[in-house]
Amino acid sequence: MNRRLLSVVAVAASLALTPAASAGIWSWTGTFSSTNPHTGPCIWWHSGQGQACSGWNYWNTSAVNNGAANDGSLLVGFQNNNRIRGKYDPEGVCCATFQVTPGELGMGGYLIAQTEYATGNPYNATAWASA
Amino acid sequence: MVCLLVAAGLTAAFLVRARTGPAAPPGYPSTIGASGKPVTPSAASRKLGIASLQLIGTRGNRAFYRGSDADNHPCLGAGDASNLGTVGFTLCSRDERPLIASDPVIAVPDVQMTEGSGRWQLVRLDGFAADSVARVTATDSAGVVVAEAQVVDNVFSIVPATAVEPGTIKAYDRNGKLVFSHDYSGG
Repeated sequence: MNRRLLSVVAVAASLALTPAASAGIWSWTGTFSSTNPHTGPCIWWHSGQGQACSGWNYWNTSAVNNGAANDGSLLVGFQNNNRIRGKYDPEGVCCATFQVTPGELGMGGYLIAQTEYATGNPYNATAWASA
Repeated sequence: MVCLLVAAGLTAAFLVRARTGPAAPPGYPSTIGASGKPVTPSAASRKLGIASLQLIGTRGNRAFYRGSDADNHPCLGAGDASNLGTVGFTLCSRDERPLIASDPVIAVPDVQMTEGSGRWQLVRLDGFAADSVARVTATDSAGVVVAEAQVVDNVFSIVPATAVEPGTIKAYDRNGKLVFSHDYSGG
């Protein structure tokens, strides 16, 4: 009886601890600039400097945390095989978290979350995404 | 506060308070004054951490909000006006302080690039502006004005009539004086 109960508890615990297929979080902290090499599996046809890309997932937000105001901007959004779309994070606002959803950008499904340098001085920030 | 800003060499700055009531101390010249009407955040907005929303206004098919996150940090955001209470993007302070912008305009251009095109296309420009800002324009990468919008209740939305590469976003006060300019053509 105890052994059976233990098995049930073990199975229940393993189910509780197993993340859903779409769950996940990604983050990258570093300097975004026009010269920094990209990091992560950015889509091949737009894989340049100053990009941080997550792996593929069913992301529901792409985001950036900044720690200081800047004169420039970062592009925060998503990639799929044929399109990149995002919004320029207003980096003149400190100290803030900027989030954008795939639906806001007319995208959905299996995507790469991406943040890339756009304008201004090199900038230290944390790009992240959650599913 | 004004002295500090002047001392810092800032020509303009504004505070955004997400709570109800006066948006800023009376007389502060460059502040978002619209407080908005309470709207219940949707499940999708709550998933982004939004706890409360106040609808500032709608422009075309866009709805603009101020609000707060679960830790009561002030936020701004916007989303589809046909789905009130759901924000598509948010900008939230990371502590209890108001969002502080170094410019009188918080511009949030939306751009895309498709495979093979090799260039960005301006899809939309949403934004928030201080009380003193009256008009916002968007140019293409050659500097030609392709769209403009009046700022009403501190918000604006621009959708270019044709596909253009993003250029410079400019904002003007009620006297026509340029108060904000940001060039996105290098992005």
